[in-house]
Amino acid sequence: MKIVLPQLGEGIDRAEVAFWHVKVGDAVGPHTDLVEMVTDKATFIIPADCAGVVKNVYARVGESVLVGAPLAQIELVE
Amino acid sequence: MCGIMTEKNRDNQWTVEDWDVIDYNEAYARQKAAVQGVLSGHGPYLFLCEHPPVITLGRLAESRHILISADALKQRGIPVVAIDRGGDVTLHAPGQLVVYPILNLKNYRRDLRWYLDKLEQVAIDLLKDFDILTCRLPGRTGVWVESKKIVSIGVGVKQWVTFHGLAININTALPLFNLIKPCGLDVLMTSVQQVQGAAVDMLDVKRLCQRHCLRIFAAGGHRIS
Repeated sequence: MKIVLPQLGEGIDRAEVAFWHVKVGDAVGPHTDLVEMVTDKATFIIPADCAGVVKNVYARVGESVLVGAPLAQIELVE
Repeated sequence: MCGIMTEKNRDNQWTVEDWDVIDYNEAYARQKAAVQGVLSGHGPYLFLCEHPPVITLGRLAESRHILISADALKQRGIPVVAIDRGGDVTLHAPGQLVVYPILNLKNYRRDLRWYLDKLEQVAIDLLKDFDILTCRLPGRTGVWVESKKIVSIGVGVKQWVTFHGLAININTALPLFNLIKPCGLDVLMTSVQQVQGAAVDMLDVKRLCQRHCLRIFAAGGHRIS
């Protein structure tokens, strides 16, 4: 399952990666904080939204990511 | 917590608490507990407080924006706290009203810019009560009196529930801001006291702030059942 940057509001088309709470190989649950994105004066914490293992992260801290672009891939655990 | 302000607003289930002067980390822990509460279905919270002198660094802050050495800060007893909010470096101190709304933006608008705009409006309306004419500067979130900054804003949002918030200089000792480059900008800070020429009663300010906050966020939202 790919976790993408959601819509954050009108006129906001991108956000910067501020902090990764997980790394590749970490087990996550639906409420695990994955990554903090920052735009203007707000940080936005994105949860895993599913249970599984982090297989990949697509952006490093400081990188700018467009809304809808992938942030991480999670291999679902049955 | 100070009992005078603690109340529950029956109309929209706001819980309002005055924490008086509270350690920054303790306030942060209380906010995070409230975030979990709101995520579990509790109504919104409004926390009003002051902090002992503390410098905080937002996620992408540059430490060079602290203008004195770590040793000098230690001697003055001013801690530096790295924190999960937007924005760069800021400073809290007694005399500055810090406002932490903990609310679920799913019940208002899922829009960070909208939320920052509403926070600015709370401060603008509050300062108008003190006959202080403020303005917004495009691209520079916060509230300004001409070219001087009077309100700093930095928020965090977890699953659309807000934390952190507003810092409004009421009677703040402004020379403290010489220790930092506020928000990474070359700006001068000001306060209600500086503009008015006299200190104002913090409890009055808190009462007005509560009124504006609940009004502005009542207008854009609906009841959380």
